[in-house]
Amino acid sequence: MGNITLKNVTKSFAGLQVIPPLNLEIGEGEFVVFVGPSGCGKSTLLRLIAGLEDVTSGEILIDGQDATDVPPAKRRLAMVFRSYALYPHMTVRKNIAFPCAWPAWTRLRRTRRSRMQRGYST
Amino acid sequence: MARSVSTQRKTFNTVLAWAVGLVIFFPILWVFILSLKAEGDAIRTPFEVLTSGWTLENYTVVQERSNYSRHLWNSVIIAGGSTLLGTLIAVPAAWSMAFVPSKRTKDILMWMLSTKMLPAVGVLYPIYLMFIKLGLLDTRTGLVIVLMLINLPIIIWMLYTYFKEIPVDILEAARMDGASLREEILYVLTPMAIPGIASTILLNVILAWNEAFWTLNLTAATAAPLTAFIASYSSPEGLFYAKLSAASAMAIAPILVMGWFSQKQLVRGLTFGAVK
Repeated sequence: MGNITLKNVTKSFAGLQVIPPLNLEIGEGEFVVFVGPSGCGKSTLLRLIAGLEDVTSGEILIDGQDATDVPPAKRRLAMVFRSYALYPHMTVRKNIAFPCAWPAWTRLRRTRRSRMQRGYST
Repeated sequence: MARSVSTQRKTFNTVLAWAVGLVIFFPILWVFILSLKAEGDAIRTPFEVLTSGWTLENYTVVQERSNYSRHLWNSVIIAGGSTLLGTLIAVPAAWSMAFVPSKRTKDILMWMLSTKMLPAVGVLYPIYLMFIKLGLLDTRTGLVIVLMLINLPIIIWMLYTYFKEIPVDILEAARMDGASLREEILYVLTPMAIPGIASTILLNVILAWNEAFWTLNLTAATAAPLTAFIASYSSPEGLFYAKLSAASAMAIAPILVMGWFSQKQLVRGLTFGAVK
């Protein structure tokens, strides 16, 4: 698991092309860094890969499968945002449990009371 | 020296605020005073009103003549129901306008607000006819729907300004973490916007409670809320100032108490987004 391929990916905002046709292959375990002046499209590219923005044209493959139209939740990727790393209204436990599979989250809600007594929830 | 000026200013501001507050509150106070007077005393000059004897008989008469608790219950259902229904529709609407705006979002918001400028009488006739056809005349269901539609623009606007304050990053983080749209709204957006949603609900309960035009025109007896209860004590039978005042005092008491306890929320809700 773990390779990402971009094929001729472009992104335009209202006619302005932010990402020119881009081909990129990231292999398993590879460490890739995007560097550039602000406004050049680094975050946009990340957001495209994460699925938070739709590509204007081109394809994104994750593990060889076309993920271009897959919603971010189903891409099995993780992303750390610039500012907000925690959900302020949730307990530590919930913050950790949130990205877990959703059935687990519902189960957690159900058993919340008993867990709270064990002192996980501060 | 600068300090003494600022103290003077503070005193002046306090006195001014109290004066304005009293002027605004005075009519309500006067209604309350009149409700405790005999019918004959209530129409005298203010001085004579204040010096005459006090009595509770108006409340007894009002209670005997009409069923206060039924009107109260109607008001509770109509105000609560329309607010609840409106909020359920407005949360997704405000979500989409705040977080996935399109070119026309601002126009839609403006257009929604423009419906509030419409004189209600202008659409009374068609709505009345629709109500007859649908058999909604003098039903709580009908009033819940109409009041919900009337207050919907305000609910959406208020929620929209609140949602705008919530950083979109956190919703995107939730999306990355695998939350579906429903879960994102239910477990991340709503809990974070609780203060805003609460003050929106409070304001709209008050607006729906005070709404008189539609409640008076679309109800007769069974679904009549407190506004209709007050109105039944005015003109046609002659002026019964004291009884009218007693009815008014009884009608505004519940919402006044509610407003009193929730004033912090209300002020915060109304000024939120305006100060930036």
